[in-house]
Amino acid sequence: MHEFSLVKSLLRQVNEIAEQHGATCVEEVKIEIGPLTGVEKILVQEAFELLSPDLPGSDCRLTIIEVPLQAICNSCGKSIVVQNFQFQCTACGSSNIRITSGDAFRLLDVTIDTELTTGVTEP
Amino acid sequence: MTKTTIRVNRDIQAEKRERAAAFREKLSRQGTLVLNLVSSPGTGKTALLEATAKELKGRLRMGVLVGDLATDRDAQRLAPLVPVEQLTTGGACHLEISLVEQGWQKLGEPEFDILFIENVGNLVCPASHDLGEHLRVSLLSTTEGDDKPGKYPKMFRTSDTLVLTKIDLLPYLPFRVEAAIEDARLIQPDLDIFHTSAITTEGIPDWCEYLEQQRQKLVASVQTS
Repeated sequence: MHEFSLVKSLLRQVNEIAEQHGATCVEEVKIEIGPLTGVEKILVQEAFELLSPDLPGSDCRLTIIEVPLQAICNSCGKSIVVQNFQFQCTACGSSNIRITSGDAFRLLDVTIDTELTTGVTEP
Repeated sequence: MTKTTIRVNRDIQAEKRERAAAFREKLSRQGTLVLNLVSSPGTGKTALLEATAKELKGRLRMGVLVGDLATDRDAQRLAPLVPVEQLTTGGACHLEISLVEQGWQKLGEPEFDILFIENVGNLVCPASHDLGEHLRVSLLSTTEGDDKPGKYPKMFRTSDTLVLTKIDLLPYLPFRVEAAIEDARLIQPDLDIFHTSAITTEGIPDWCEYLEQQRQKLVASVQTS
């Protein structure tokens, strides 16, 4: 249910970026989520569709990249994928692991259109 | 028109995390241990705080920020025992650092030894929000079932402490304490675990001793840094 407030926060940051770069239209927003982000992909998509008309331009596309839950084992140093929320190293069995991805809600990149004001023509 | 892709690659909650870290740092310097209490609705967060306030009376100065969607019922319950400020979220399913900062100001920013933040009853959303706490404490009641940790992995993974509540009801319920603990430890092996009943006060002295130790640890770490 908190997807709505997270997407609001996402769009505020996208708007700031669009403004800084003088965007006339935001074409695409690319984000990354994972199993421990604590959001449901469909609800993020729905919230985005509801809120994104506030962005410059129209029909902004949201691309969601889903990454696995990855960790580094502090005992043996191996990089592992955490399956089924079993927080144990698959190589040595240690539970002393550090999550490296799949637990955040990341804004990866923003594709915008800008008006050319320098007189340079497009090829 | 020209098309540009701007690389950002940033956690969208980075700014809020920084604010939470600054709050934690500020309260560390004045020796206030901050705890974020999270659980389902009805697990007994307020009851645990009532029992804790009675046990810690004269030992530690404590204050409470309590979050709910509506009403100030929890604050009314706690007010005779401790300084308390109700945070009404008006429908939001979790507390955020901005609400905590406001509540803290309304309390007058006193130099408590412990500040408890009682989160909105919800095992999902509060897991994603850093409130500037030193310790996140999950509560699990015997009436909820012993299979909860595995069903809500993020909450238990991000917790430091697990308090089992309503253990006085164990004789009447199918709740398996060992199964619940095993399930929780698979997700977070480092959990400190307490077995409590706010009604019989069983386990409350151990829990309060732990709070005193954690607070001493915080004060010692601030002095050495």
